[in-house]
Amino acid sequence: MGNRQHEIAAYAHALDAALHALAPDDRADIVQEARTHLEASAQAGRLDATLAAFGKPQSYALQFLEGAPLTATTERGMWSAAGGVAGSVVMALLAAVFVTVAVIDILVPAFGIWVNPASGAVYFGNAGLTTRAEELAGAWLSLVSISAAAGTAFLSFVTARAALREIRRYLKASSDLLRAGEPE
Amino acid sequence: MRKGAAEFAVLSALRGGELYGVELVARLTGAGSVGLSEGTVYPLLRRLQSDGRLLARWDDTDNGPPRKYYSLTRTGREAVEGMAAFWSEFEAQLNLIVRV
Repeated sequence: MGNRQHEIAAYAHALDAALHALAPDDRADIVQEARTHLEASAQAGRLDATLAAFGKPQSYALQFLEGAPLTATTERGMWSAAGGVAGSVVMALLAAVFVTVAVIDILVPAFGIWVNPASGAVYFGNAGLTTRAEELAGAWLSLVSISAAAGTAFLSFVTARAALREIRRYLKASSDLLRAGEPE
Repeated sequence: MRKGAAEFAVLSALRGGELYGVELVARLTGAGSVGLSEGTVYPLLRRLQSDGRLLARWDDTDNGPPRKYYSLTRTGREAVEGMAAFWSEFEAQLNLIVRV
């Protein structure tokens, strides 16, 4: 009986995994009912016949997925993926801006953050805007820009990776549901 | 078995009152039954529950795993009565043809 219990638990576990596109409550409900039925079959000495009738957990799960709507979790995942893609693009653009600033600051010495001591006005760009300007950041501008570029590039990479993971999960859930809707 | 006939069989089995999954499956798949496969009953029950034709409730038993009981909703009862009326008429018409 111990072995049989192990078989039932393994089947329930695989069924739960195959139903990942459904909401957790629905999944738990289906798996508990399958467990109850399998245990009753085991007590009646016909577990093998029931397992054969149910078929593989993946194909049994497809019958429940047929016509089931995408779960709120899956849809939320898609929205968070869209947000992740947008965030990643913004971060990549910022990284590009910081790299550009750093490169220009290195190649063009007159480029930087300048202060007019008379008026106290701050300029970002070329020193030619005022004759008595004093540079505010000096070489630090390129160093800070390079650091900011590296930071934003890293954030862009992390958000893009998370978004790709969500997209893959969404596509897998959608393909499971589509497959469930196909005729046998 | 066609989907409509399987639904009719499940709903008819519940006309006498609520049954839990194992009882229902035994009635529908056992010897002398309508020949539904054991693997198709629970997905069908779930669809009927989602459609609002069945009501389900869990009941914790003292010994053994919890049982999920099914019963007809008002919509389910109306549906099965409509199906039964159609079936009776269909059977009568068919008998007229077959016995000629």
